[in-house]
Amino acid sequence: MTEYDYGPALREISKSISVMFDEIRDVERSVDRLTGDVGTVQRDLNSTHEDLRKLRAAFNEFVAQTERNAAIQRAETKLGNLKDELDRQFGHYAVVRRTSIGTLQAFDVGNVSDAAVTRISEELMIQSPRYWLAPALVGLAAWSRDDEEIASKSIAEAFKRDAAKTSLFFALVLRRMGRSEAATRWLKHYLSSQSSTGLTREFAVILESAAQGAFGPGGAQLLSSQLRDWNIGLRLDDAVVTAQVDEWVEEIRNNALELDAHEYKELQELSPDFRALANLLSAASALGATAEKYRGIRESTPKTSALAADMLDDLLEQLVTEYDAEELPLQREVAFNQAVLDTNGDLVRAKSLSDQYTRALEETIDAVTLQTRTAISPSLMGVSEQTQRVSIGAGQADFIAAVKQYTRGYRENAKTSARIYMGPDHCPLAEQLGFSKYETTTAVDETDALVGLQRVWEETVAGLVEEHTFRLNKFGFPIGLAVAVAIIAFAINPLFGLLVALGGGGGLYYWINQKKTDSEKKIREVRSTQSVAYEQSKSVLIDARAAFTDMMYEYHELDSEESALVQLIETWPTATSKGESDDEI
Amino acid sequence: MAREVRLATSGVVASEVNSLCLDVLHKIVSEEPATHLELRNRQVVRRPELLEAIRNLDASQDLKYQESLIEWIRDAYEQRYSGVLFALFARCYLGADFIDHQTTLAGSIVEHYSSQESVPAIFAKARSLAANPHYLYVEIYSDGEVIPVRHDGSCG
Repeated sequence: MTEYDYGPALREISKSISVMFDEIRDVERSVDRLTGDVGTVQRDLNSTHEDLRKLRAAFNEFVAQTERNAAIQRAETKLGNLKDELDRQFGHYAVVRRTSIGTLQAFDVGNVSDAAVTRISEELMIQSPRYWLAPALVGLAAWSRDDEEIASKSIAEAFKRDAAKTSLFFALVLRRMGRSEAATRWLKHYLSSQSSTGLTREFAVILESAAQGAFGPGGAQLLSSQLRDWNIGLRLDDAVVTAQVDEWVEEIRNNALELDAHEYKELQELSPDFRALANLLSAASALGATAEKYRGIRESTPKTSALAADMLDDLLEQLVTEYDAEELPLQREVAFNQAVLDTNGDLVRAKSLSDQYTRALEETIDAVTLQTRTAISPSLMGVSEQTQRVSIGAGQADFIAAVKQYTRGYRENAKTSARIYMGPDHCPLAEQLGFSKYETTTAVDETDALVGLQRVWEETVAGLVEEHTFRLNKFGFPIGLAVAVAIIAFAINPLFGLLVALGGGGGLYYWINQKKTDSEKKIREVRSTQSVAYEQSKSVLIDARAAFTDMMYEYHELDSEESALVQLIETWPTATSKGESDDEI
Repeated sequence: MAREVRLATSGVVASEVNSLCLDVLHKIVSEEPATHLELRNRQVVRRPELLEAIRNLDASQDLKYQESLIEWIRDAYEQRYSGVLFALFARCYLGADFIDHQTTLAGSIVEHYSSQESVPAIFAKARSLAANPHYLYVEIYSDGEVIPVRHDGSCG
């Protein structure tokens, strides 16, 4: 049997194998280059993600602002329309009102003829059916020309149409003319027509005018004791007291400040409990803000209570212009739209503010609530700061109870720790390396939390490390192939086989060693990336924990403002205990 | 009706807001709703002696002393006619390593809650209130009302 010459075939195979190895090496180099490129792409992707996050936040803010602007524009339009509507429906009352003030001023000057006044008042009487002011005006005109019969008839008619307002009107008019005894009689009429649980809104004007001394000492005394009696009677009912406390609680709550969107951002990004904590801080901030507001009220210089005729005219005008029940629904709408403008488009706060306004515009109110509201929203009730100060003094106990109730309300929900959730995107490298998640809380010791974080990072990179770890069994195929080739070569020619074995073995050994070094290098890179990532992660976590500590510190500072507020209320200058002071209302 | 009194105290480092424990005084009683008078009496200012007794609950580890204190506190509350007290919560100022759960003789049980532990749901609000430095301790009545008590004995 001739021996087949395997030499050329083997050389061919050998050549092919080395070409293959070369190609494999080329492929490896390409893969490395590609990995580098992927790294670059990854970095770009990270910065793009960062930009996208910023863009999303900016966009959300923009959308919110646009909504607010739209609400403001709607409110402005509506406000214009409502004011026109009010004018259209109730404009003619305004004529009567102006005429009554004008008449009084004309009497003062004495330059208008009786005939003119009589004619105008009679015209208005005909033109304004059911309105009480018209016959009152006729009565005034008749009185000025000494026509007793017409005067009594007219005043009786006015009294029939609206007893309370007529009494009040004449009380003020007579006072204006210096007839304080008669004025006080009319005031008594007025007070007796009032029920303590159903005071009409102009009572606030009475309060104001008495505080300004419009009825003289007699009138002020009368009013003060009446109010005191009503208070004592009404406060027997716990529900009334609770209602006052609730109104004060809402007043305190309306003074709460919102946390800035950028504050404590480090915690905001990681904690699902952030909103609750921010609400806590916001609630606690109301204490200091309320104290400041009321300190301002207490310390503002009282305006000189000059009883100029102008001022009484103002009161009269207020009486005749502000308090007609038919206009109420439209006035409520006006109040809401005005509130939208005032709160810059924040519909929720506008609703709450306008509810407060609306309550002030309500038709009837009890004496205690009236005092509370003159203390809380004096401008809405039409009273001055002086009256407000006195009312605050009267409602001292309610205010303090409200502070206690309010503070208890947010303290119940106080947290002593916050959850921290570190997700796949908490830092740039987390996304790149496939970080899953790490949950911890601020209550956990910092060292323990960091250990846990380190563990998650270990798990995260474990896959990569595993991938790159040198394992001999990966090279099973090449080694097997080399052994097979060596055996075949050996079978052909032992010497040749030996050469092939040595060459192949050497080459294989060199190649495998190269692989091993490469994989070690790769693992070192992974580890160094891991440690950079861990440092990033660690600083994010530590910043969040620090932000939490700062938040808690600020909360405690705000919370301790309670004692300053309570002290302010307790030392309120015009505070009187019920039944003691004589001339304070 | 058998009344079992259990007292729980735990140790905490008071200066740290985060590590917080609770004192719980349990009283297992009947579930009658409180009368109007009893509700009013809950607003009455607590006597300084009562406040002192509650402060002293933490002060010593002596079980006999604690038991006698509990007796005294129980009687003091009965005299207030403010309904049935179910539990008292307070922060305590023993060292942080005192997180024990002890069951003692004569039905007085001392329970400790550390900051990591969560308490039964009904006590969650009381725990937040007790954590606040403005309140000395918190009363929990059997009808569910939770009343924080300030350092001067007034409520709310």
